Amino acid sequence: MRRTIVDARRALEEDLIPTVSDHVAQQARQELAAGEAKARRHADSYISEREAEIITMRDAALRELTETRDKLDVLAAQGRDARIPTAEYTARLRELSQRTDRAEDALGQCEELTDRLDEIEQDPIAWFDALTARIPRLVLDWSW
Amino acid sequence: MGKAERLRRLLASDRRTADQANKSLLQAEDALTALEEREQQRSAREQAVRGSR
Repeated sequence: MRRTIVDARRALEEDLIPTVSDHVAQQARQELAAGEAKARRHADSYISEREAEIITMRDAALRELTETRDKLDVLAAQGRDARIPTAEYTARLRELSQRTDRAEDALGQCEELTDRLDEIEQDPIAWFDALTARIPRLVLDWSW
Repeated sequence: MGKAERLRRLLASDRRTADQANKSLLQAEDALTALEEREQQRSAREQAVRGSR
């Protein structure tokens, strides 16, 4: 029968085990363990892919923050020495400020995505079950 | 340590760079204020010179 891992575990413990021999119960437990292992592999694979994406986004944001910080320092020095017209200074400051904001937003996104990965790491089975609710073909087929 | 925890630590260290960028932004804004004040003073001086002619 096709059902979520949580349902399969509940049915195994509450419905199947009280009515079958130890041998059949043992086989069913092994089947459940194999299903859970499959779910964990899916979760691991998903986490690795998302981790790579987060690192790419993080690297870009960090490069941007470093570059804007350095350019802001140069700009401030030019401003202090009055080596730049106010209008030009204002325009460059606005551009660098916007770039800083965008890079910080990207870091914030990385943090939110990391929180999501943490949730999946904490409970990969719940994540897999939620995934199968969206993609029914992934629902596992059990012998009970 | 899990991957999420490693990422979290990495991102926490990045916040220091973000703080530095924000500090630089504040300094650049201060420098703009000084620049504008100097420009206003220069403009006022130029007007005074024109007025005295």
